[in-house]
Amino acid sequence: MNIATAHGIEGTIRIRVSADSAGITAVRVESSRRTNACHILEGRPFEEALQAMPLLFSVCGVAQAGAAVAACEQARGIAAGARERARRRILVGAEMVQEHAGQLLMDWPGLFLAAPRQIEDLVAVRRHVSGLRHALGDRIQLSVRECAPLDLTGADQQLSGLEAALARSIFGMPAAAWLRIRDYAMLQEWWRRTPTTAAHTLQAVADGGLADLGRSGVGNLPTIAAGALCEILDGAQAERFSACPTWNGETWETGPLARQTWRQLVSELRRRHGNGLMTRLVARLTELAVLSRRMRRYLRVMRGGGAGWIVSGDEDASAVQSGTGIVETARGRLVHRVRLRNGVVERYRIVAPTEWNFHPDGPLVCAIRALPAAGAAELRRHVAMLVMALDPCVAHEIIVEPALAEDT
Amino acid sequence: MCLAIPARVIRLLDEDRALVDVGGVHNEISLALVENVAVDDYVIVHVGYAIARLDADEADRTLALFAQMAGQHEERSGEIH
Repeated sequence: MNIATAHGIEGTIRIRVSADSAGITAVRVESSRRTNACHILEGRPFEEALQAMPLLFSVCGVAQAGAAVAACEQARGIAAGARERARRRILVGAEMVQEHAGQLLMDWPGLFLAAPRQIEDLVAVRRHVSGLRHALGDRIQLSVRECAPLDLTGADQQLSGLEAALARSIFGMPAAAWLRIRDYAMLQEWWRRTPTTAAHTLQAVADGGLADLGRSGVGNLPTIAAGALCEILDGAQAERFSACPTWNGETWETGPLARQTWRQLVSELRRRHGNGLMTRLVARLTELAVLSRRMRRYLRVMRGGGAGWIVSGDEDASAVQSGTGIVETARGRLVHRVRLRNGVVERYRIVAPTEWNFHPDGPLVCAIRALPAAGAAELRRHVAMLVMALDPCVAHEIIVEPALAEDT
Repeated sequence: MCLAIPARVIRLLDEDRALVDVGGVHNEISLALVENVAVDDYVIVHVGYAIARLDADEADRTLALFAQMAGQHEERSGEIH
């Protein structure tokens, strides 16, 4: 086995920026990510492909498994019941909490405050996420007929522990109370009074004149009609779309900002700072607060009586079956599209959120083009903030070059 | 797509760090986020941090998938060149 060849298979994103005294002159994003890695699933029975999914894509393995199962269920003409859907949403939500908390506790301190990473706080969050997942059966699978007994009381306790950990290390108060912050004045009051890295970060962004950093005209990824999406992913341009997605001829942003823009606080920040750094950071914080409330709501659904665990529906017996699974992950919208022939995966396509946000003409590039003139070190720091705000799912490298032609 | 190859822990170092092996390539990583890791355990590494520990069976199955993927990549590269 030549696993040495596979080393580096995760890929990286390289961001090359050049600028002169007047500002940015060129930006180039180069991705070595394997957007066609899902081809490895083709030729396998779909049950085997589903088992492989979380092994291959282990960074957001729950969300990947969720999208794959949803795609295969649609292809097979079956659907999960309400309580199973609630269980899956908690599992994906817990993974999102872990990813968002990871950024807030590991990346924000160093980048904005020259402070050490809050590893112990993140370990506490991860411990409760792990406990919650374990209590709820841990994995998302196609058939839940033989689902292991679930520990809803244990899940409730772990969720309470998670809420306490987030309150202690991030919000300085229960997340539900933080969500009562509805305007800029209340937000300012919060960051002045709260001794957490998240609060200090927002204050540093405001005081440092960074709130508008990277403000651009890129819009939020809209819902793409199912028929149109299927047509693209079943067509000859699917590979191109997976690597460099556009919609209606434009690039779009996906992730916390796109999902939380409608909330009152984020909406006010959007009016003040557009999609600049402050709005993106507050959107992530808002989503983190919303997630624990949402998981508790889904836990109540799971506690409800009646049917709902068992996958229901009439299985489609036709030879060729297609399905789409869409899951909102920490980094944005994830789409899986599968075509089965007699139960074997004939074609598999994935569109991951990083491809939208790190598109060669997408949100990151537009944000960097909008940066003010700065020295090389300051420019690198500003680019790092924007990369972090859009959060790629792989390692990245920032190269500030003295000269870079736009078209070379 | 967030691919991550299992890495085998070959030596535990000070300050919650470890030396890991991926196909003969050695890297130093942090174990700060994963508890109770021992030599010969497999871990998933993401941007320099171990984020999960795998059991031996899971690690074997994952490595086999990546080996297949690498083989496919080589075949395709051979076709191109």
